[in-house]
Amino acid sequence: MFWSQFGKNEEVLSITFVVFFSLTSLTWKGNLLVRGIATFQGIGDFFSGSFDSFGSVIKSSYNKIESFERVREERDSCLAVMDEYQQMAKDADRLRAENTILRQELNFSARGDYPAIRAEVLSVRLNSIYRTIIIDKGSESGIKSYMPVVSRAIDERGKFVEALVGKVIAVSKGSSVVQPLINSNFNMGVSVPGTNLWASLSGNSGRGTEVMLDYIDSGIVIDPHAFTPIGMGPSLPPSPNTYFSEGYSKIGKAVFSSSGSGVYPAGIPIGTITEEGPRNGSFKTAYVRPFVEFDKLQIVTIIKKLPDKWSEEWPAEKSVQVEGPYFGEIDFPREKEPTTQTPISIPPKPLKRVGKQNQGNEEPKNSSNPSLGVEP
Amino acid sequence: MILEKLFIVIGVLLAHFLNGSNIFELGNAVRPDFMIIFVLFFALRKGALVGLWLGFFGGLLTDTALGAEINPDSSLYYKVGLHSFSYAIVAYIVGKLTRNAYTENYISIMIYVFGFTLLSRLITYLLFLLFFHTNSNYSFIYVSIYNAVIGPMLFFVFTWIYRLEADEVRS
Repeated sequence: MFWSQFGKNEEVLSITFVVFFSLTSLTWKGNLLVRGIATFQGIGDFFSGSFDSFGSVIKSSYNKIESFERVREERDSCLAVMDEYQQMAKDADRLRAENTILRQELNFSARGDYPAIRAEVLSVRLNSIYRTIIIDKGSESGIKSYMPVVSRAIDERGKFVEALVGKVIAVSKGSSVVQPLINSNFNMGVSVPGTNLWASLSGNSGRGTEVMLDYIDSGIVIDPHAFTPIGMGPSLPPSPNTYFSEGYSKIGKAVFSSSGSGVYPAGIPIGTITEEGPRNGSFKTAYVRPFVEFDKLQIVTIIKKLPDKWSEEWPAEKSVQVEGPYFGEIDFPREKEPTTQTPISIPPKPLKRVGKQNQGNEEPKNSSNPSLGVEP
Repeated sequence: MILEKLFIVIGVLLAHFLNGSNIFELGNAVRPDFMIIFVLFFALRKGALVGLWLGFFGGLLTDTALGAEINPDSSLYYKVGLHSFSYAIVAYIVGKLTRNAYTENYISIMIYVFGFTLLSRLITYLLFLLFFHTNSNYSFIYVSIYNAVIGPMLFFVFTWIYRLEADEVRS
């Protein structure tokens, strides 16, 4: 009886269930059922990673069999050299010290301050509405949310750097979800060393694999050839007296993490500025191409750094109690005799009201804004 | 019957894994959406109801890979429901409204795959905008074109694997 009724309305019931379930899950984003479904991600992406690895082998085997052999020989010889170096403890100490100095000189992050762990990329979902990278290490390896993720990349000078990939946003037992730079919800503070360029980096750039620098001071020249109709700062239309040389240009300059958010250590390379973007009010914007090639990402390093303490607790005995608002009401001496002590002390200097709008009218006893219509 | 369903489940899993793979990346984050092609194929071959459920489960699988995020109040929130809704609705529309007028050839497959990939991505985008935040990085056209180009080949492969000829099904 029930099944016959169900069979008759099968289509209506099915579509009702699908719509109801989807919209309920979206509205109530963290319910138990949704969490249960989300745990499948770990299992699924394990197979995804295996499949990806298998596919990569087939793809590359077409034209790289010979080069693989050569690379393998080189790797073996490198490993032999590395074994020799491992035994030279003194040399290693010296090199470590030298490396620290070089890192400081090159504005590299002091990654040595934090332990790090390598992880294999299982899947890179750039096609998705919410771009994520799944890695094969999770809470079992000590990974927690908000840990920065870096990877080997080549910088603008052709040197190897450990460039920023993103941050860990969710952790399960054996896998983690990384929010890459190019995720639409990604934000961080950045700077260009040696300049006064500080900006906010956003992944919501509207471009495939580029990110956007926002809130750049309008006085900073990004592209000397780019002029906008808004006449602010040095971006005024060219005149005989204005001339910006290529030396002012920020195009091609590398951008580093500023440590402003407390999540990322300072000085992690991010990418190079490629183009000046559209104006954001009185601020400038620019596009940045990340050093990391997300479509070729295979191995990443998770820096085991938790966010800095967001705010420091101020001792209660040192707290300052302000009675009344800062811009409090002002008592005019001629109009009202001071009977009680007011929270804000005004110098006993006679004030004279000016302003045509109040002439001939009865003056109000109090004014909420002391700076208007009042002069000494 | 059971074997057929098992093969469909394997197909859904395979489409999901391929979506997370870098193999078919053309650069600039342009890669195909295998899941919607798979769902469209079954919606056209087997009808609205099969398409609806396949789209729902395929979408659910896709949603699991979007990960969770931490709210300011330290609670986790997931994005389950985005693709399960869009894929299911698109598959239902295809199966219900367009199936009878569908004549299979290379051009029609390309047009159908392009149009309905675009529609599914548009619905997903609107849901994301409604429940989460703006997203300027989501690709509509390039992915739809990519899907349209590989669609006929995949339809041929699916037809061969699942033994579902277009003419036989409609008659």
